[in-house]
Amino acid sequence: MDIVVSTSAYLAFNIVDMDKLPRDLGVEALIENANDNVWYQAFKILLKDRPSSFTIHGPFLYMNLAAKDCEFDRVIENYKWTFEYSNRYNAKHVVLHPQGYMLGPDNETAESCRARCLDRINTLGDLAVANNANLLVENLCYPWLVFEQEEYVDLFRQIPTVHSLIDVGHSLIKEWDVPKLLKDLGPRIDAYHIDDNMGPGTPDSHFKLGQGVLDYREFFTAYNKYTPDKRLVIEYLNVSTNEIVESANWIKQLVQECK
Amino acid sequence: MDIIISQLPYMGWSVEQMASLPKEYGIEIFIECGSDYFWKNVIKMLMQDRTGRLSIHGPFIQMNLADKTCDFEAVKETYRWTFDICSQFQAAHCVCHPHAEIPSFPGYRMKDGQKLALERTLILNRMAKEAGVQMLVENMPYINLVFEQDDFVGIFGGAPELEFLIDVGHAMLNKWDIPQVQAQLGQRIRAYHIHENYGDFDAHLKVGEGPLDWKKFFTDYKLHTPDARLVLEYAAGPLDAIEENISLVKSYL
Repeated sequence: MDIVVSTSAYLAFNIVDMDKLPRDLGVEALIENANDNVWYQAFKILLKDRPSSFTIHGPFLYMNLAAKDCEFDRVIENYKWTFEYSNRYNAKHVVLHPQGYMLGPDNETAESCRARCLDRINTLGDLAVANNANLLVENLCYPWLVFEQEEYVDLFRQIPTVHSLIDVGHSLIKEWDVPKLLKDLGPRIDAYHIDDNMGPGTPDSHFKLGQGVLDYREFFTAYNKYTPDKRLVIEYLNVSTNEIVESANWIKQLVQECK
Repeated sequence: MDIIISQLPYMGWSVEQMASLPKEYGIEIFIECGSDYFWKNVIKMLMQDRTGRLSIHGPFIQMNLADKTCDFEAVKETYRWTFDICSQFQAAHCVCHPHAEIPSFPGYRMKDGQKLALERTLILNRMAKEAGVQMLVENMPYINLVFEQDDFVGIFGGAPELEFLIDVGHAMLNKWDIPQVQAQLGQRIRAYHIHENYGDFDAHLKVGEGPLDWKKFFTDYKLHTPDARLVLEYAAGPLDAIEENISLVKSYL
């Protein structure tokens, strides 16, 4: 089983501390959180002698694919830049947010907003294929979702070039039926973000697993049944390397226990 | 005199919170902690209707100008990008770390390290000037410095084209004679990083949270560097505590 750790716990200058992460754990880079030189220097160290997976979280700030005024040409340029990294460092996937923060559709129907979003995801999916990148669309937890659970599942029927990354913390906040989601999507799920929070309607805290109210046994039982061995990306905030390693070991144990 | 707040407590996406800082205060960002697309959008948002100045902390992660093994071509490339952004958004200054810790390769000699750091700093400074950017050389916090006070003032100060940002907390950590530095470098000190500590580590405490005699500091400030920008580089927020602290700083002025 592939366990990857997000740079979310090593923001800014702390990126150099990530080198202490054991080599059997992979790295997911939040690519918009550093410039080229930082990544160039950091990857020389972080990815050296690390046989475990490297993955990328694509940019998402200031690019709301659902918004009419999204400068999509600039988004495409930004994703071309991201896919260059994906190729150069053999990333197993690139994560895409299908929308930004929204309280509701902006002077239009949800359907037309969703259609725009789908069109843009489709374009980025084609771009990913052309650039040999594996683009994963993540489920989000904003107040209004362009893709609620059923629509999210349907997205993957409509767009064959992308796969799914399920953020279990986000699905908890939005009260999604996780076993059903995993059953419905099955092999279209390629990876997970593992994080916890205090439940429906609460902030997207990205706590360590077990620090919130996520029913992790229910999740890992469904994981083993429908998507065994898919990548698990630990995406925590404000934790130490020791805490991450302990959590990774516990996750491995839970996967075994829930079989 | 400009008061500018450092991004230090608001790294990553939380930088967006700085938009709620009163518009009269500037913002200093850590440019290497974001991509080109990220910053071009974030700066626009942060600086909208802001009368306070933008300033930029230049890149420094994993680079040491005093170390011959440092890939200086990569450093120049990332500074070229930084100066472009400074220029595009009319940043008041760009801060440069002239060295990191004392290089550890066998055979390192301090004189060689200092010479190399000076040469490279001057090259970056020339690039900054060509881009119309004011680059400021900062004093460092490390326990064993490549440039102790006399060398910093003597060697960098001896290059008349260089201008400076004095980091008060770093000077405290290394027991520098701050009034003497202020007197020696005078108005070539174009800005300060304002914060303090108890001499044990680079804590970046707010003014008044540590032992420094700020009344004395600001008396010397007014005497030697009355127009220098004050960049409050605190480790922690929240923003309302920083705003409260600005009032304290203003009371010393």
